[in-house]
Amino acid sequence: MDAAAVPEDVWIQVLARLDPQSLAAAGRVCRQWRAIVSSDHSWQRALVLRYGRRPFQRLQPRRMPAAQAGGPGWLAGGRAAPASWRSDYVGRLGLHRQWAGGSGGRQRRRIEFSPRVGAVDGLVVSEQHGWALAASLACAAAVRCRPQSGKVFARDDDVADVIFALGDGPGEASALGPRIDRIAWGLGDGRSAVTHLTRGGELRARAVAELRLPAPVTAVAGAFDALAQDHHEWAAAAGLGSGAAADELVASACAAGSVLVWSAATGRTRRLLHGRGGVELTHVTWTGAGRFVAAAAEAEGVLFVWDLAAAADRPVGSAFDRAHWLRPDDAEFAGGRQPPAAVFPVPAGAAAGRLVLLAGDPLGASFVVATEAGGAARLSVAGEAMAAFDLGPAAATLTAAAWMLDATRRPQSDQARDQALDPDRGLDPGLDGAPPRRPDATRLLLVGDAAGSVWLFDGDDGGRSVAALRQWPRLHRRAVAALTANAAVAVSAGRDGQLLVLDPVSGRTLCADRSARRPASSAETWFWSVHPRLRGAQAAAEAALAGGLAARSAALWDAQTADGSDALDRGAGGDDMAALFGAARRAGGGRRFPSMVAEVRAGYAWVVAAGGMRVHACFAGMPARARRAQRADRPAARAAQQLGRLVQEGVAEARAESQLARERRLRDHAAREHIDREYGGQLGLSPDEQMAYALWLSAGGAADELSAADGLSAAGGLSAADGLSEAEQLEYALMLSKQ
Amino acid sequence: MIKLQSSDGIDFEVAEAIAKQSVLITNLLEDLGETGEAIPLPNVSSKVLEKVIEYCTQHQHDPPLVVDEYDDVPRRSDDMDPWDEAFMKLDQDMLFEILLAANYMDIKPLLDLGCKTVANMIRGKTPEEIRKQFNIVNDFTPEEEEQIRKENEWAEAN
Repeated sequence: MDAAAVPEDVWIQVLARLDPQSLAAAGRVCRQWRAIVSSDHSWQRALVLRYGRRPFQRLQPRRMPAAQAGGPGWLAGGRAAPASWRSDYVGRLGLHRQWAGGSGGRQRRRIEFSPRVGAVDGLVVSEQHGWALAASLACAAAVRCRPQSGKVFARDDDVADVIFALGDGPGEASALGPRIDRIAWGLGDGRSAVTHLTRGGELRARAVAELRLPAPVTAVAGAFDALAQDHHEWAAAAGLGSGAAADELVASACAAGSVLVWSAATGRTRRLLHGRGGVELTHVTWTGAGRFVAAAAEAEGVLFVWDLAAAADRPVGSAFDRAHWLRPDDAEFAGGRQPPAAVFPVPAGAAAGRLVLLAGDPLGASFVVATEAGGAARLSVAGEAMAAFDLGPAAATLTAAAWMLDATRRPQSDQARDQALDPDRGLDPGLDGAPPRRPDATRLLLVGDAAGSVWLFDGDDGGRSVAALRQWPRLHRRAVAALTANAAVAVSAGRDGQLLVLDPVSGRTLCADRSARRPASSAETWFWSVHPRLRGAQAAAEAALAGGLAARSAALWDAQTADGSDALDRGAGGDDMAALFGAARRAGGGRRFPSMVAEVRAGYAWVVAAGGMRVHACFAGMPARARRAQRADRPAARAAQQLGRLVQEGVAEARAESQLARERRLRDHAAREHIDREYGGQLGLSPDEQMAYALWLSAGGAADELSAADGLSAAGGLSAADGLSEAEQLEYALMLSKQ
Repeated sequence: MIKLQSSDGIDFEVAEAIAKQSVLITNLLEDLGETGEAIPLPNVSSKVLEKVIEYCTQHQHDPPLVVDEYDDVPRRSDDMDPWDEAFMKLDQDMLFEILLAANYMDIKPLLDLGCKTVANMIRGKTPEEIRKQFNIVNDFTPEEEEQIRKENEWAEAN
């Protein structure tokens, strides 16, 4: 039988099972096949067959200027210029190959953020720009990193991409709302700011709100992603600005119960929304294509919703168009404020307890709330429960949520959309009856919990128990800190400092740690490995981080980068720290350590550096002047000695146990007993902890390279002339001695 | 039991569960009712029908293929199971015959399997190798050939 006898519809089915390159090759075989391959539908079929379902969003063609896509182009999804399925298929495969680390199918390890990023509180990944923006409140900084490795982005001119929100006038950052090209910040002193990135990635001047709220800003949200045409219409109708200026609207909620809507383009106040005096707002979000602002008070469990269109006829408070301090009892404040259109408690159906999450649906007029007791629900702007999400019995308190638009399923019907969002349909269709719903696009909701699990829901589903489309249990070892999704991938950042990449279409984890036995070499993991007790010490260092980093200048960061170390300063005293990091690097033979941790304690400073399975610990004395001051503080000095001893013990323990591991006796019961006898009482480790630790040591085979306490003497850190006491010198000598 | 008649007039008796994997037969049975008469399959020879029945017998207890709500294509199943792989070790003529029979009788899993098998024969080959494999005549004019080459430069670059 001849191939020519096979009908075309069978060939269509056959060719749909090809990868892009083979499909392109098939298009060059004969006229019939060429006609099949020329049809974009063939590429669509091939894509769907490969991934198991249609993608939620179309990929934007790369290098397309964001402006053409109506704002941050990648967010606008399928609503922008139509990309072909062919480019979607080719692009998607390429991206996944890139994320998964090569075409060999080898799974890459988890992505570890550079410690410089700090704890990630906000995250955006753009496949179009090829970077991830990770923002940290503790560091008051946003850092542009490579999404595939977590490394801090360094541009050609060697300028590190650490974007400071606060620049020269530091205040305490208390809230942030990142997008791919701008980050909204709320400060502890009531100010709000927006940092912009230009399309090319240059840091643009930051905008500061002229109006300073009377209390710390507790939450900020930009209308950046409500966006596109709908939002512009609302904004223009409500006198909030038109065109691109509408994109720049930012809502800042404060502890005094007010929400400031201001323009990041001019810094001017657009609206001042008032909830209720004495109710501390903790969350704020936009919904309904930028028409509604919702804010919530965590402790009281109350939600406020403002309809920006409702006050379209009211003159926007001209009194606020200048910078001034605002007091709650200010006459101007009372005159210009807009009361909420709706106030309601979190319904009992969503489970009682403190409200922990508020995430506005970008298109439909609804938002997702979650309470501490567990359970998440979608509420309309009128407060009626529209859906309850079924998280299963194992779910912990939710900690992060992100909406993504599913713009590919149904063709957009302009007429239906216009009806749903017609501003002339009365002041408040959302509150009168059914909230406006977009018929053309569906939404997907990603949520993550404190136990590190992530769920994907169909955000359009209603009902008492919406089942998850996909579920990734225990992705992270600690709570999910931030979630983000775009057309190609969903990314979750954990409090464990790790970034995981998921393919929402096929449900695959693109980046995952397959070898649980070999922890990644972050400083924190090392601490845990050395001694659980040190975790407490690290937490203290973590607390000191915010202050220390807020005081740092951008120049110092740059110097550190130029220095070649991804070092994180966890203590005070910049110069001492720089010397210490330098010493650690020299002790390590000039090699680069991905993770370095340092802390200054009374009379001591120490730095621990980890690279691969190589761990270096260095100790240094403080300058004599500082030490004299510290010596009076005996308990502190003792605490520092204690800390030093713990590190030392940990390192000694590491050596002893790596020896054991090499002799392959660790898995035996005898070895277990031996460790328990030798070290158990002394260190307070449970046999299981020791076992876990020993296994970790034995896993790499490189454990014999552990070389701790490499000398600081070379670095001139210590000598008798420094006036150390005998006990202290002995302490140091022990630390410096090599095996 | 249901009787099926091949194009060369041979009757096959198969259990209902086996025959009903074919959407064509299911529809025919619904329309005509069970008459006890043989259902003629004028496009399928006895040799091919035998193979098709062999496949359907093997897979009679399989769950139905899930079809995406919005696309008329089956979800991607995992790699071929070993039985299917052995079953598909046929000469090319027979492979196409079965593919056509599966298409005609509307047996989705078998069609999927056949398509996958043929696609595997195409994968990684140059157009010339594909033509040789399937005995396809290159019907492009030289001008068309040149144009295609230009269009596909991106693929060469990859």
